[in-house]
Amino acid sequence: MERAANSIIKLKTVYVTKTLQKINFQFRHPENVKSITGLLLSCNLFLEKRFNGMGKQVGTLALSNSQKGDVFYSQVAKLDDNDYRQYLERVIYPTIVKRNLSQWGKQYTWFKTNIPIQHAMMDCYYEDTISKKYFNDLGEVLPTLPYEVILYVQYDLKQEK
Amino acid sequence: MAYRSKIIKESVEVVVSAPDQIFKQSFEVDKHAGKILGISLISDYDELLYYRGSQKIKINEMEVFPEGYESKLLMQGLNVSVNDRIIKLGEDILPGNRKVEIDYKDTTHGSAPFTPYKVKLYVYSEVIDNQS
Repeated sequence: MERAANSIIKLKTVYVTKTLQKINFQFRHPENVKSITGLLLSCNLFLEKRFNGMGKQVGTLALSNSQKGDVFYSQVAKLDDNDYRQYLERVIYPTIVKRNLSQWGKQYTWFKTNIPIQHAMMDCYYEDTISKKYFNDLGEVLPTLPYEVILYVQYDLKQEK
Repeated sequence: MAYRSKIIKESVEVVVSAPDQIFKQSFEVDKHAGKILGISLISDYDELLYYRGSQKIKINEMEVFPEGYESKLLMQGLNVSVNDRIIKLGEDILPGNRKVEIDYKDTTHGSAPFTPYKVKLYVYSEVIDNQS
């Protein structure tokens, strides 16, 4: 994941320990930055493939200006099967029974934006939306708590005079 | 990455010998390095690096990636073209004091039981062109 020129990256880890937990926190911007250029949300809650819950919503994150209160970014944290093999080259076997191909993948890229920094802090709100235990279609149960959500923020640095 | 002969490739190895600990390593880039182009991160156990790893990387006292930055965001698979397997730093960072530091943190994860593993940080820098 490429790092932008003349930038600095900060991150905040949110620890979710309770069901339907609502977490308010503030994120302090570094002093020498002029704008937010990239945002990324990562969640470490994973499911094994047999639970078939990939892409299910885990929680929502909203970021807003401390003074104005308007939300400028909102993102859904999603369940992942956290399969590292998706990074590796796959072999497509010659005996494809069904005549269709599908491929799961994940994209870790910055949400590119340009939000000028006008205040020292931004307000962040994370709400857990997944139930304490995840049930799949077969009635199998998987505990979901605790888990971590990491917010990455990339800033454009002020030019030194 | 077009002129590989003019790019210095150096690496430092972090041996992760115990779970849930921070391992620090550093080295100095070659004295002929004019600017640092990028880095890459690999491991002998990719799975452990993916699930358990996070790190802070500093070059010339500049925090290029902050503490807690997940290793999976720096990994590249075989499906990435070999000429693209470098994490560009966005700008050409001057080596300055030439010191490259990595603080690698291992964290327990349910999908990857611990076994000792190695993490290798490659640093690519461009040779100073004396002719210009």
